[in-house]
Amino acid sequence: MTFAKRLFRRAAGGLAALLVASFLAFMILEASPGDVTDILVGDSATQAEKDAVRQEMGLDRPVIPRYFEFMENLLLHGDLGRSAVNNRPVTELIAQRFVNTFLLAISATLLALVVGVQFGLHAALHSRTWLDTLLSVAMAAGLSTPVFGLAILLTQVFSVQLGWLPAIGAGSIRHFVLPVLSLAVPTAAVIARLTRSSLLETLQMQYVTTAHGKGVPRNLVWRRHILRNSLVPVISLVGVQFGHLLAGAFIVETIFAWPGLGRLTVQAIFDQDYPVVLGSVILAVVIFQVLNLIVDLIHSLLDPRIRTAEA
Amino acid sequence: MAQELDSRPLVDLLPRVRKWADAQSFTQRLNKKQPFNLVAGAGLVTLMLLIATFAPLLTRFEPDTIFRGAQLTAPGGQFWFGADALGRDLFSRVAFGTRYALGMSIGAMLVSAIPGILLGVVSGYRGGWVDNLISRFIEVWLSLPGLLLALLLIARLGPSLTTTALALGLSGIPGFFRVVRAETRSLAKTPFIEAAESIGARKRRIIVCHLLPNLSSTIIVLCSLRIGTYLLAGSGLSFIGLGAQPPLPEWGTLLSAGKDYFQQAWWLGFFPGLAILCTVLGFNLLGDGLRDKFCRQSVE
Repeated sequence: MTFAKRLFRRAAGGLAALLVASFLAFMILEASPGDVTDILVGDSATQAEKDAVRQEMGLDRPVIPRYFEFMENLLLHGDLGRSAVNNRPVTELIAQRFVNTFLLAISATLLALVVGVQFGLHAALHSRTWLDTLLSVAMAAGLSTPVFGLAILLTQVFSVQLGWLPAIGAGSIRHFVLPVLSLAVPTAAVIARLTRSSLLETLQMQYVTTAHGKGVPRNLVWRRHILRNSLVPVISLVGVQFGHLLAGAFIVETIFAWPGLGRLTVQAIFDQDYPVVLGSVILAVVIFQVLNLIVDLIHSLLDPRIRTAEA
Repeated sequence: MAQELDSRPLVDLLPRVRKWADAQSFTQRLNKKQPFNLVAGAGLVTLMLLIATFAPLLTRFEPDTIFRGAQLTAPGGQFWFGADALGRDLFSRVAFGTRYALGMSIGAMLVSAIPGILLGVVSGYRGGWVDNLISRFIEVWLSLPGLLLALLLIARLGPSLTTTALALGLSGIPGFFRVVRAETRSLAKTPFIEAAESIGARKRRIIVCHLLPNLSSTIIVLCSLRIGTYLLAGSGLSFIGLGAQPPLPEWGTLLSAGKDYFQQAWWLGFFPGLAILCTVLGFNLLGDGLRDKFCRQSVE
């Protein structure tokens, strides 16, 4: 299968997933009893007043036509509706927040990648020694630490006790440090574990023994045979983790009052501002699909077996 | 040389001897030193299960009793983990919190495990259009990845501990499905399944009597790791207010209440955090240990 054909097929699959996801999200939020008008008009409003608001917002119509109208606005005009709370366009709200989330996620991913691969590499190289044990314990602890507990601890030490870094907010490079650290620790632990196990598996392969046996220089064996093969799964993991940080950093963003997509979503859930929830979920799905596509393409560039196999 | 060849089948001809030998090696295996992560994990998990079961016997006070004048008491003889801002015994709240934490994460695990395993076995064994149909269905599920589906459900149903467990469990179904389906497919090619088919065993019998028992180690490992994941996610959601609601002594809620008093009363955040860390670590270590011991290939 050619590269272009593969690209096309994956993109079509991603688009289909997006349509399905938007339908599911719309149905979960809109097609059930009780709706946003209860919050908008307050408890004291009469049924007639509620009905008037419902009619004005078009909520009295059946859900399927409303879904099609929503998708038409989204696909043709790039319009996601307006916030039920402050009546601002949803696209404007999420676009503003997305940049902040992206910066946070990319910094955390890069940090986690560097630290995680280093840890995993050294654990594998010194397998069955004290260093491996130490690093494995560190990985297990990193995986089991609640990110919010870590965030509180970091805030206490670095902003309250030492006063080096701001505890909440955004705006300067110093605001980045604590949220990025909190996000990077569990991510680095996942990456390190996979790097370790993948490397250990590759080191046992016969082609590595063969390469050493036929006298290929050590660093070439490592570059061409060991690293190239063992890092392929790590790269797809990094892609997935990056996606999770973009779409799922809402706990850390809430703790550090980081003006990102996650905090916007959480706030919107509290306010029952469904248009904003829907908009940010759809944006997260788009990000996921695009990332999947990119990871898949990198994958096929690195591994010829995937390129030739039927997808 | 001839003697050596003769002595081998002799053991095979004596099934009783073999059985006895196997029983011997089984006890020997139990007595042998177990890997560290398995022992530590099983120990931590057992400890937490015991605390959850015997919480009323372990604590001196009710988790909701307010002691006037005891606000923010430091840990000591009276209040082992100190008292919170309202004067409630923190040890009692953390101990009873074990029930909510384990209930939520084990409940979520069951919600994803039961449909995930059933669909996975059927899909992997039947193949053909059944497999196609179920796999497409799961792909629809996966179009809302990670916690997005859980968030949507929480947004719609309103935050509570039950909603969190349900939402996390539902969004985890594809994870179980994919692992079980892949394992089933490789098992279905093995000779003993073929043998069962050739003597005319029904498909349902093969699934129940042959496939599921052989999948059990994979499933147990997956369940253990998942409980840890769900506990982290669930207490995180509770922490930001999208899970259990106060005054329920869930660990995430406790930690969230404690963060405002961190300077005067470090124990309010420390003990619930430690409880989460130990429990998650326990399930993770147990899962890893069991995987190293029993599984042919890696799960997740």
